[in-house]
Amino acid sequence: MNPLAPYLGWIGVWGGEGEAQTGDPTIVRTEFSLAQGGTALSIHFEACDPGYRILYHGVRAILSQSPTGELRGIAHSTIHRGFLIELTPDDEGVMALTGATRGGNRVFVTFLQEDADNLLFTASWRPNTAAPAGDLPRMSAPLRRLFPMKFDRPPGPPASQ
Amino acid sequence: MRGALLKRFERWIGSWSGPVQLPEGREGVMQLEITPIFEGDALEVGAVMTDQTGQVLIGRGIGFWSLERDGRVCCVMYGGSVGFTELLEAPDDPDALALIGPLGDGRILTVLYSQNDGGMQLTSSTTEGYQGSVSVRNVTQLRRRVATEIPPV
Repeated sequence: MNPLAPYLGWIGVWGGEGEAQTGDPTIVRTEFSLAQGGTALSIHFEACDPGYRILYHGVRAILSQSPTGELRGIAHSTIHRGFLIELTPDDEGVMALTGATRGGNRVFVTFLQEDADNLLFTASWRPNTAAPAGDLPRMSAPLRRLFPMKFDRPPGPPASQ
Repeated sequence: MRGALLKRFERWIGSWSGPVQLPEGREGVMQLEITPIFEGDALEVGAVMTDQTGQVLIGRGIGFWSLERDGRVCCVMYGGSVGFTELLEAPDDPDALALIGPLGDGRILTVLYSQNDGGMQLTSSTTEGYQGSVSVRNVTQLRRRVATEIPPV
């Protein structure tokens, strides 16, 4: 099975208000889209202050099937710079990604599907040398799928003559 | 650091294309796009190779360039023929960018972007280890692709 298949239903734009690692409120916007001619999944992630003026964290990632069949990827983070990421085994409806940065940290990112239009996002990192701990400061945000606003068409000429 | 990446590669941002020699002596076309992301914090670099008709996809790849603390460029990339890897800048001419790193099968990938009067030359090669002989080499002369200006009707 194509390892991208479980996530194709996530394609679209998602947004929500959550909490940054510092505890400050943050607005998160995430877009999943197809890339590389449909053979890869692109994830664009932005976490800003509530006034949309400060980008706390921006990430662009491309996930694709590796020659050995696993889902792997490349990522650029405005905090961690470029690094390789891989999907770690998890339950259905979960995308759990991890990667080691050149700065010596291990990054963990999880999207948990709650239903068709709701995801829960969490992310954290710790130094590669530190023992795993359950209480790492983390950024988290519930994300809802964004739909185009519906509005009445303004009056105008008929679409076709 | 953010401004430094853009300042260094500003002239390279945009769309490039040029002929590429394919195996068995056939000619193909490479298209290269260099796009800043996050206000120039990184550059997204995508390449697509097709046959001359543009209808047969030969290969494609994508990568992100960013600056290390020491000012060198780091590139994380994926290519259909080489898989995932991390390349680091090797010293070269100021008008060039040489990226080198290991592939999953033990080979070493070297990619050299060098600006010249006619545009940009892109050379990629793989070797069997850092001291090994070159096993595959592709040289492409790219020219900036510009949009046709259509006069107002």
